Amino acid sequence: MSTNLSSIQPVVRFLRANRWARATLSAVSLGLLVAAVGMLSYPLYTNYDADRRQSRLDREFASPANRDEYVAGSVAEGDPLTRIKIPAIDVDTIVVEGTGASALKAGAGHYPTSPLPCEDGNVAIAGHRTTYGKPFANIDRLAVGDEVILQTPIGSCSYEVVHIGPDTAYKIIAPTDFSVVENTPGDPTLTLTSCHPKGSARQRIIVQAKLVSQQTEAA
Amino acid sequence: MRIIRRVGVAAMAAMLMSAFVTGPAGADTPETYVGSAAGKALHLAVAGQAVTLGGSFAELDSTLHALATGTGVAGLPVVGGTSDAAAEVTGDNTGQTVPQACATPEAFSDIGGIVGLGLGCGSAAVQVVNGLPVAHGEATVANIDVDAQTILSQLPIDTVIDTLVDPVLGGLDLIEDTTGVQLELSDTVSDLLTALGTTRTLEVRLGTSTSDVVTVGDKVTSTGAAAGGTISILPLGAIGQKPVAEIVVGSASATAVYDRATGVSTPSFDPAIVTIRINTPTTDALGELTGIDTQEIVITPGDLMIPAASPAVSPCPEDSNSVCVLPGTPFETRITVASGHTVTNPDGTVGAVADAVAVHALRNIGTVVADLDGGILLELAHAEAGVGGQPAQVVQITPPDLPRELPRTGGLAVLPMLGGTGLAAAILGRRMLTIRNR
Repeated sequence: MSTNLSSIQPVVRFLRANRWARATLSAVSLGLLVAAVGMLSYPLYTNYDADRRQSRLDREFASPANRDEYVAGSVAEGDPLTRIKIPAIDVDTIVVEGTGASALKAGAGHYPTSPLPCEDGNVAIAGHRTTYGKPFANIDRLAVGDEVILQTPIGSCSYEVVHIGPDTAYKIIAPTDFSVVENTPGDPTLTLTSCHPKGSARQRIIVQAKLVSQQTEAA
Repeated sequence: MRIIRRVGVAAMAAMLMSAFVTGPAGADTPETYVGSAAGKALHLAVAGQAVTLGGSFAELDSTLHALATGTGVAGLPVVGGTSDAAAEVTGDNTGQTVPQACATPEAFSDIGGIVGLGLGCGSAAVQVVNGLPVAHGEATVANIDVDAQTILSQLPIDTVIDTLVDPVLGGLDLIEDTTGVQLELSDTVSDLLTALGTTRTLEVRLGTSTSDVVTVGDKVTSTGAAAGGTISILPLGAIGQKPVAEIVVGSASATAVYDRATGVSTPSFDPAIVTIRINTPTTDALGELTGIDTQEIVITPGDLMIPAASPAVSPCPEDSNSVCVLPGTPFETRITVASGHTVTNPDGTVGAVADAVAVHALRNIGTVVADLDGGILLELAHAEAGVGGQPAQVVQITPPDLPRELPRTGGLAVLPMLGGTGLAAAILGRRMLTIRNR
């Protein structure tokens, strides 16, 4: 304590001598406190926001209107497209159409240029890792063979995680590497992308899975 | 510790926003082009009355419309059917072909049977295949004879000779004085006049006139062409059974090409090479015909070659591209050969014209035979072609901004650090204020 007091003694004397300095320091301290609370609570807010969105999307996903849009291939950006379930990491999230910043507030979005879920080719889904419900927070913990289920308004299908990293089921790539979401006609796969490391957008982490089974609802 | 003042509303962090901007869509301008061609085998005017024979025409444009006509004899009554053919279509994968139609024209009776025309034929074909139109017109006139016998037989031949010979001999005297060449042509002139009154004046054998406009690949090509023919002046029995003059005409063509890719049009013409043969008699000291001297003159554009000693033929003073036969006489015949020109219009369309031969025979005969005033005008192998167009103009649409990286699905790592730093700074500040108050 005495050491601390001695190091800041000049500042303390200055504060004692100047009322305006005390008032300014008080205001700055209060501002910093407010900003700190905001920054620290931001992730909590986004999770809350995503949770509200998911509740709404869950209702819309089950509606006949959404099924009609899906069949017609006219699901708009931000509307529910599929439900992704990854039992190994406790994921159960409605995936919306689109990967723009607005659409991804729901937590996970489908790349519009990729095939629809359960169809032939490379289906690609991007998901948040630290905010907005963080559905893909633990995709680095997936192992080869883990099941990924996609449910659509007209059926469902199951994928199995495959080995793509040197020693892991995931791979770290540059943010500009779009090859991972290129279509693969004749080879039905699922690619999940997210940011890496957690809390950073410096790189991307991807996991891929192969289609193993498919069920389509009767018309 | 002093109680921290209550904060009314917690501050919220700014949210990221993005905008998506699309470029403007423009109005595209479709491609347009047009091409036309015409060929005229012969245009004949006798004593001021004219007809056009062997005419062909073709035209097409980018609306996939194609038209072609072939007319053997136009403007004269015919017997035996019709010599007209016309074909026209509009639209892709369409076509029409009209086979050759032939008919014989009646005599040009208004001037006492001066003109006798042979068979005239016309045909036409058009088609549009895979968006490429093609048009072809064709016409043929077999033969044309111009006969002044009817008129001249009604005139006193002596008066005619006196009227015609003196000027001719006067001209020949001048030539003799100038060149020293002795010419004994009085009998020749009599022979000519006799032939004029007893036989055909002008005989023409023609080829075919064609008009083509073809769209192939990136090119629209218009070609007007008239094939060659032979014109014989006083063809039978004039001088030792040979014509006084014979004009052999090659094929004249005019071409215009439009490049659909670049929008550039190019015209060109190719007038026919013409050969003129002048047959003059040779006589002995007694004036007896001993033979025929044939002088041949080959004429190409800008290349007029006349034998040095040729009193009967000389360049026409008013037109260097023309040759005058028997100049200064009532029989004077002017021959204009191998001419052509191109034109480029301000809108970029171009045209080309080629004329093989224009013969104006007996152009001064009206001074002695009023009914033949104007002589006989024969224009042979006239060709025209023109094209123009504009390529399609496609307005480039600005592509939307493409994402430069895979979607961001991670928060800013600096946020928690900033928040922690701010909290620590706030605590420190309150701490210093607390210490001051001790």
